[in-house]
Amino acid sequence: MKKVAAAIAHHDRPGAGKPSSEEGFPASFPNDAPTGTSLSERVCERAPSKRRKLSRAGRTGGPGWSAWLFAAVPVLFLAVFFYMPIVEVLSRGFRTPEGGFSLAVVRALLADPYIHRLIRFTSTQALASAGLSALIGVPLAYVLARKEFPGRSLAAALTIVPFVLPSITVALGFLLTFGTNGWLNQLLRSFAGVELRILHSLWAILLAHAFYNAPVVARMVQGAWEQVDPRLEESARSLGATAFGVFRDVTLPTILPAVLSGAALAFIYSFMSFPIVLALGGARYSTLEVEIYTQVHVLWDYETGAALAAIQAVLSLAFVYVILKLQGDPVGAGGFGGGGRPGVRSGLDGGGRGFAASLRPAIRAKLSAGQLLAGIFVLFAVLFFTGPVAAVAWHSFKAPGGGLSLAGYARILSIQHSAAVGNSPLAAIGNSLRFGTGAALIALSLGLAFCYGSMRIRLLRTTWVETLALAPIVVSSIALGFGVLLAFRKSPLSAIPADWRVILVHSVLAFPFVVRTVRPVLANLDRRLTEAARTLGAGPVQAFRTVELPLIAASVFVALALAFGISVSEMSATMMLARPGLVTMPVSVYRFLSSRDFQSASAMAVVLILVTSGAFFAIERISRLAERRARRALIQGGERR
Amino acid sequence: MRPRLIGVTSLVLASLCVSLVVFLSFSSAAYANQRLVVYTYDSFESWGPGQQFKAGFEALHPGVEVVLIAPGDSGDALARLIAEVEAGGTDADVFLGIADTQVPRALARGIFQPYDPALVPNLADVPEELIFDRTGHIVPFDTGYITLVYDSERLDPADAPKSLEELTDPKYRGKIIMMDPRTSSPGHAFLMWTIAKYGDPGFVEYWERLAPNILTITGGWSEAYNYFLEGEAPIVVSYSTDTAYSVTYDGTDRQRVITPEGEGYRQIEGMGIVRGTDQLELAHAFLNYVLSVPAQELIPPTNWMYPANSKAAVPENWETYAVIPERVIYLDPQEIEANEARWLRLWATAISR
Repeated sequence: MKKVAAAIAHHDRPGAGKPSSEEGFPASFPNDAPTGTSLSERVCERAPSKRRKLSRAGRTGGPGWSAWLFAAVPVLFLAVFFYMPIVEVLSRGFRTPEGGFSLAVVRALLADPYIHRLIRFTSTQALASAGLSALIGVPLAYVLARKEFPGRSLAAALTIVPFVLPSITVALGFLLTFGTNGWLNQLLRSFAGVELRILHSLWAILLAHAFYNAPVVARMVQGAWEQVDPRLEESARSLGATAFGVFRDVTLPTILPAVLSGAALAFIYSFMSFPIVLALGGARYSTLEVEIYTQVHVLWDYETGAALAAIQAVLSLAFVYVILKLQGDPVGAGGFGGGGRPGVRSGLDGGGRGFAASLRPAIRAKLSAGQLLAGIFVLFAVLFFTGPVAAVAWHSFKAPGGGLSLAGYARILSIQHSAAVGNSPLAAIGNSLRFGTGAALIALSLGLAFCYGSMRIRLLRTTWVETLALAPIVVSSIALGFGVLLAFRKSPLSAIPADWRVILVHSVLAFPFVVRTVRPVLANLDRRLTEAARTLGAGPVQAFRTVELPLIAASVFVALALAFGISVSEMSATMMLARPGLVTMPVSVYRFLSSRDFQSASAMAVVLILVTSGAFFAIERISRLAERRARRALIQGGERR
Repeated sequence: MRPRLIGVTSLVLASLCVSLVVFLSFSSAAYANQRLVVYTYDSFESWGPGQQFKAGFEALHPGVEVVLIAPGDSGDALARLIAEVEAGGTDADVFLGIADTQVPRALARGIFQPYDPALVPNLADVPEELIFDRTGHIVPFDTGYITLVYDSERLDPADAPKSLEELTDPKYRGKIIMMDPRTSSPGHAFLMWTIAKYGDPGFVEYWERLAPNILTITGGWSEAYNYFLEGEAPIVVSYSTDTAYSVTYDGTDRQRVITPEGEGYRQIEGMGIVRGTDQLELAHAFLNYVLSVPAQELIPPTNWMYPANSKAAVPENWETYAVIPERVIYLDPQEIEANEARWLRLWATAISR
């Protein structure tokens, strides 16, 4: 359930968009609050409540037929490929042998002290993981948002790497980094004569969860941080506030919603975590998902497994609901990547940034201690995130008998094996790319359609619908695997060929990410732009296409990248739907490992890292370009008006 | 400005078209006249003898295509088969790689149908002791032994544990790597071994004493063995053919097999015909082929297990490096099935205490 990460990348806030017609700026500029508002006004009025009402009032007009049509497609898609299968599977936990309804299994589970212990441990470790992720992610966000350094966009692109790594590769990376003979302990032993025992403890689990989730938190908070007007902070400082005071009173209120939603994601991801817990912590630290696995895959007790999965789903859905409610009206929480720099904002406050930058040197001298701290933090962060990855890369060159060799890569590239069934490791790369592209495109189309519809239909903006749209990533992947397996055996769906099935399931899993990334940006757009277009004679679809779509182009690209990443890293459903020739990169890593070819497994993981981070870097670049273009186009439009 | 906006839009639309083309380009494999679908576990399919079995059988039966499907490990593959059968039908004709301990529960679900011994003549060469399923549904095809393996460069051979009891000695604190019996078959075998030795509920107390010496209990064998190879701990639960493997592939015998008090726990892997298959004859032929000497001799160097057919030879260095325990420990699968859910729960409670 790594997919959870960033999924609720923040919940969008209908109507939380800022008023966009501050004086001196064209009405067409969304998100210009920082630059458009006078300092005093911003300092005095941080509370968003009044503004919300303003912008909500500006949102008029009922949904047209096209909105319903657009919303119907993704809703139908989710119903067929997710809700119906999952309800069918989970309902087994509530069935009597005669076919009636019964709560007996659930009741028995809820009365079991062992299950209580599992729930307690699962929640506690998830909370701790979320806290640690935030603790590492927030400073990282600061660095990404406020520091200019060479390779910043590369660093931003690389934050996705942990997100797509199979847990077995992360476990290997942690072993090679934090293990007794890992490079960290070798360094510590030779320089300080001490040893760190991290592996096989709760710490290893928490750190691994932070390894996955801190970058997600960072990307979300980065967006929010970029929306804090530096001049506000500078003026507060010049009025005598301490650095901490400024952070507490000016910065924190703005970034808090993003921090919360990032931490919440980390919580859900860690709550569903299974292989990483067993690999790094060991069986002493079992989670609910381990118990579901045992019931389903070992004891084949589908009733108990389904009931447990239902309990788990209810717990996590309730949690998602609470977060979405809590986040009801934050001030500009950033999305994963794209959400953070919605549409044209950054272009418009370029002036503001420049101004702030010119103020900065005066303060910089005083901050040198802080900068030293920041430097140290960056060093640690770099070591923490690149250490395990680099160790895996190094491992891929290490021959089992000692010495270095390229044998691992040679085996990956061999086509010898494919002669039989076409599932050579090389074909796995092709499959991953194919599935990733297909799933990303479908999820994107569905996500955009859903966003388009939900912006116009009030019913789809309720927290309940929001929560249900996220369900694909909140439900146990074991249950999901069974659900789709059985669904595809029934008559209309059974006609779908095997590779399509994988793509469709991956689309279901990627859908929430697209919605989470695109919707906040869309929600922040100035509706009057669209309305102006409509007044000028554009149809609803044309207005969306020509006005809204270009403004959200950047986040669309990020959504595409995320969806691609989810498909590329997905493993459990892919394996469940296994057919000859359906091997993907992570499945291939897993198979190399299970046949004790550790070197090739590492080599395959390296290829996985290169392919996905390459795709992300390209997308990051393209989205910047698209953003700049849209910005330019809008400024020209504004001038013309 | 307009053309640019349209540009982005058309990019999205074009991408939709591309996705359509990508889909349409998928070719559904053309199947031969007759198809035999075999469900198995993944390491058997991809790197084990699976591909050679497929080729060998197809050569003997022209016009027949063997399709190997491997959804994860043996437990995953069986879970899929059961779910499919109970939902009204499966493509599988044969299941290859069911662990002996899984058989009673699988039979209770009614997913296998009895085989006709007359159509599997090679069974005559399989020793009586391996034919564990007396109900006539499952045929054994290989066997192996779970033992302990230690790293002779990190643990003095003189200090290697000589009995399960000695494993609980404080001198091994944090020096043992184990696998979770719920998610790993060697882990399961080791738990059964302790139950066979210490009884029920005596094994609980044994595990409580053993717990401080266990560095970690991983989910799967591969993580555990990787930890072992990287020097996290010098003792691991593993297979009795491990030294033969590392001598063959890594050119070293530093990983050594120990059989505490000459003991090791036996695992038997079996295969069976899926109930409701329309390829009954072909399925029997496949079972018989897997038990034939040429097929059986493919098993040791690929699956690292002993062949079930006593006439099949093992690789030469197995005489030196692979170990057959003097005393084979084996619990009756029926007894395991009756108690497993409870045992696993007792175990989980004991190690997390």
